[in-house]
Amino acid sequence: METTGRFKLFIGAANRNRILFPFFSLITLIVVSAIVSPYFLTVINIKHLLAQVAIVAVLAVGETYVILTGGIDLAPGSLLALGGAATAALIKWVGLPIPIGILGGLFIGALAGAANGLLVARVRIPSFIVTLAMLAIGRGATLVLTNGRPITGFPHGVSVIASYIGPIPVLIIIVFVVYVLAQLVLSYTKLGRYIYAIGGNEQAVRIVGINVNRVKLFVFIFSGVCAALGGIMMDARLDSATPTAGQGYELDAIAASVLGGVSFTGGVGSLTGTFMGALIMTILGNLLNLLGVAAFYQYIAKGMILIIAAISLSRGVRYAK
Amino acid sequence: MKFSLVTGLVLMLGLVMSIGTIGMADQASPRIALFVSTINNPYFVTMANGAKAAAEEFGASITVFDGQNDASIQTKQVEDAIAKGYSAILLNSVDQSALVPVVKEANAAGIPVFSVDRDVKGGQRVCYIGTSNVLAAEQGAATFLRALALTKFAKPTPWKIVILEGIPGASAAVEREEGFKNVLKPFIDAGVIKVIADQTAQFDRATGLKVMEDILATTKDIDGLICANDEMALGALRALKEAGVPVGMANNGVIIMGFDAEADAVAAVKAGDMVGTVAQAPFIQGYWGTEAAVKYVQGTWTVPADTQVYKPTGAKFIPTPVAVVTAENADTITTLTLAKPPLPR
Amino acid sequence: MKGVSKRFGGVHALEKVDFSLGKDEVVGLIGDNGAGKSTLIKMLAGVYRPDDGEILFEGRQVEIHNPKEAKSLGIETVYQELALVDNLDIPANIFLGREPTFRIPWLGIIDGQEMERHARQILERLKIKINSMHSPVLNLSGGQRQAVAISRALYSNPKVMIMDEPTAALAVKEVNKVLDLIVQLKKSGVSVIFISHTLQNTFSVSDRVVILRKGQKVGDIATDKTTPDEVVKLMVGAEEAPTGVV
Ligand SMILES: Nc1ncnc2c1ncn2[C@@H]1O[C@H](COP(=O)(O)OP(=O)(O)OP(=O)(O)O)[C@@H](O)[C@H]1O
Ligand SMILES: [Mg+2]
Repeated sequence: METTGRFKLFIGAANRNRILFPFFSLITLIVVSAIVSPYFLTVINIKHLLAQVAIVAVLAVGETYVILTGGIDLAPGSLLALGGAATAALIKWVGLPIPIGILGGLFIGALAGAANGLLVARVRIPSFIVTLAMLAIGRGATLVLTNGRPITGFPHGVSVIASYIGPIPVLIIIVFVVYVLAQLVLSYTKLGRYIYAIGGNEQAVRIVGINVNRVKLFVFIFSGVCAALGGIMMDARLDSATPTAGQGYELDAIAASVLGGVSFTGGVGSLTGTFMGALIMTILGNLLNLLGVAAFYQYIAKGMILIIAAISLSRGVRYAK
Repeated sequence: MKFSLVTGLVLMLGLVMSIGTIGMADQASPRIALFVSTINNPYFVTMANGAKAAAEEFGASITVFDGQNDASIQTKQVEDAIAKGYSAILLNSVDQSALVPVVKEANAAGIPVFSVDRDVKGGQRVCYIGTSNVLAAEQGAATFLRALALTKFAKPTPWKIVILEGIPGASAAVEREEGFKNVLKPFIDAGVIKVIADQTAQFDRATGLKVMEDILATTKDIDGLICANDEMALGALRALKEAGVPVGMANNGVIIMGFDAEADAVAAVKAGDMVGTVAQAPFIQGYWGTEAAVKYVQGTWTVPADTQVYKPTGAKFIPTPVAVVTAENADTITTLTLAKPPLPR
Repeated sequence: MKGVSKRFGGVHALEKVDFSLGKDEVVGLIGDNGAGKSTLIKMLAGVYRPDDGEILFEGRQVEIHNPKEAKSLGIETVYQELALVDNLDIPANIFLGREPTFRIPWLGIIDGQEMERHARQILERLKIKINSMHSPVLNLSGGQRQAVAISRALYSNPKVMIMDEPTAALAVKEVNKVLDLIVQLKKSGVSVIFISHTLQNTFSVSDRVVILRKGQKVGDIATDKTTPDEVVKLMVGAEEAPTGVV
């Protein structure tokens, strides 16, 4: 299939195929859920579902960017807490106006992301190690900042972020905007092209004179900002910033990317897939709760789904470097 | 590249404005090591604060170690502390069994061990300073039942309740569940109460919100909600309010019971959104633990002869106070939980 | 290049090697595995910096700090370890690092149509037929991949084209195509450095051969004044270099 529009969506033929698996999984899951639970397709449940998917989905955007370059980011869960707590502290303790507080939180996320990016790109420490350290440091910094206690009760403006327009959560609108912009960057800009290229063959990209380090720095900063954004969304949803917020969310973000067909070796995948991956994870949890399945089995069910996804996707992978 | 290394590290460190309080050891005074299971929870932060207050008051130095809820990490930390020759060890163990070997190592090295809040199942402990989660949960459940009956007496039984459990398998979760069930079971069997959902919310606020949202999609006819900690109760409270479900006795709404008496929860109790939360006394646990350790090392205190035994582990048991925070006592509860009552002699 | 040396840790990959390339000239670079051929050309391509010695280009002394500077001098390279990005398609590979963009500052939005049009032109000029421009290059045959790599190098009308084993792993027909291409390049005024382990290929296109052995230059002879046999002896060190040794 040849597309010849002036703007040609760049996801590559194989990427298109990788969308099919998450797409059909998602459809199947929705159909099954609707059949087994009469509550699944109710307005209230869908409304909740969309709000629930928002935070994991926003972390997964940054995670997908990093994974596309062939790296991994383990810090989002902690940076969610840090960004959320920083915003909360700025608004509640320092008394800054809400938008400034939000920018402050995002900036902290960017700063932590920049630390990750510099150490990965310039000092060449594997991203797994650097972000594992940041996972610990981010959590520690959050505890220091909050003194281990939740920051609660924001001015009214914050809760607007977690409100609903009709049945549509504002959160999901924010997520939608982030996804569209981020996918446009991936599909149509040089930066997006280089993100894919680095994941495909980093050496080749260096040889043609592209500044690989700058691209890597960017993806980690972006991931940090996404995590902080997730933290701010969490603040709004809970009307509080808890220092333990987001624990383990990095794994959900990674799982969403993988379920959505993003190749772990980098260079293959799209955000459309990632969003479907995030939906699959959230719907699965939602369904199990609707059915009243005990926690022990929920863990097992989620693990099984991931394995099945990995197996199905690996069939199509001919991209291992 | 050097620039990046330095900048990267400075940024990382810059985020950690100061990494807490690794006290400079004062050679002359007793050096106490407190091993908390995790610092990632306000409860243990309060415990550490109690310990610090006592250390200051009784002229000791204290170092707090964060076991990160990982038995192997905590084991390593205790081993290191034994090697460094601390005067006494206050252990809030991550795991009842896994820490037994290091307790024995400490015994062999002649360092006295006090268990705080969570005991271990073997080795020599001078005493166990804590509360029984089971007993505390029973008190909470009793208060919950009373409030439920007072509010819902006009409504035909069974009254429908939701239980939110802690992290599956964690000892606090298991014991609190046991306490709840001890009290509620007869009423469930008699058909007065119906448990419409019994789910975990991982001791986590965001998860509490999510699980309650999912439950609300199936029904809004909920009379009571009892939670194994406040974080989950607060998350669920938010979901109920969002869905427009009335809460609290005054509104004839959902009766919500929490556990831990976190500041946010105490505020919710004052506001009438929650009927109560169980207050254990982490501050007193930390305070008493440190006081006992210092004085034991200095030879001015030993475990009183008439001390009872904690049945599950066989340790000598010095119970710290438990109180259920309700609207009546909410204003004065901090005087109870942040008090420094005398250590039993 | 005059007296260039390069060391990797303890390995003397190159020692005081002089190397020259005339206009419209095809020079075959010959040497055993590990002799330093790739190292030599990577210094011209801006991948490595020489530890010692200097590089002159069109009479001027130049310093080539990175691949971009090499390209702006007009030196293009097709690498031995084919530097293609497997998961990208043909146009994306040909234009990697210099994608045509719309004239909107900062955003760097790629003009996909323009890129595809150019890519087709280049491939046509090389008489290379490829059905699907948009499947990842991983799915192409070895010869097609080589063609993409050469297309990339050709796109900027270079003065010097460096080809490191472009014929390795190719079928005979495809090898001939590449050799034809080199002759074409020479005719159109491009100087070529050609590395190959197949002496027959080297001899068929080169004006001159330079022989490296263990990081040192051991021969520099016009092609019509020598024979493959003689070159092999120099390569493995069986005979002292007869001419041109510095
Ligand atoms: N980046 C590097 N780091 C360390 N040593 C290297 C590096 N690149 C090359 N070498 C060493 O330098 C020497 C020359 O290598 P080079 O790649 O130039 O050989 P070559 O002539 O191209 O061989 P081949 O015919 O196998 O391609 C070898 O001993 C090689 O191991
Ligand atoms: Mg080579």
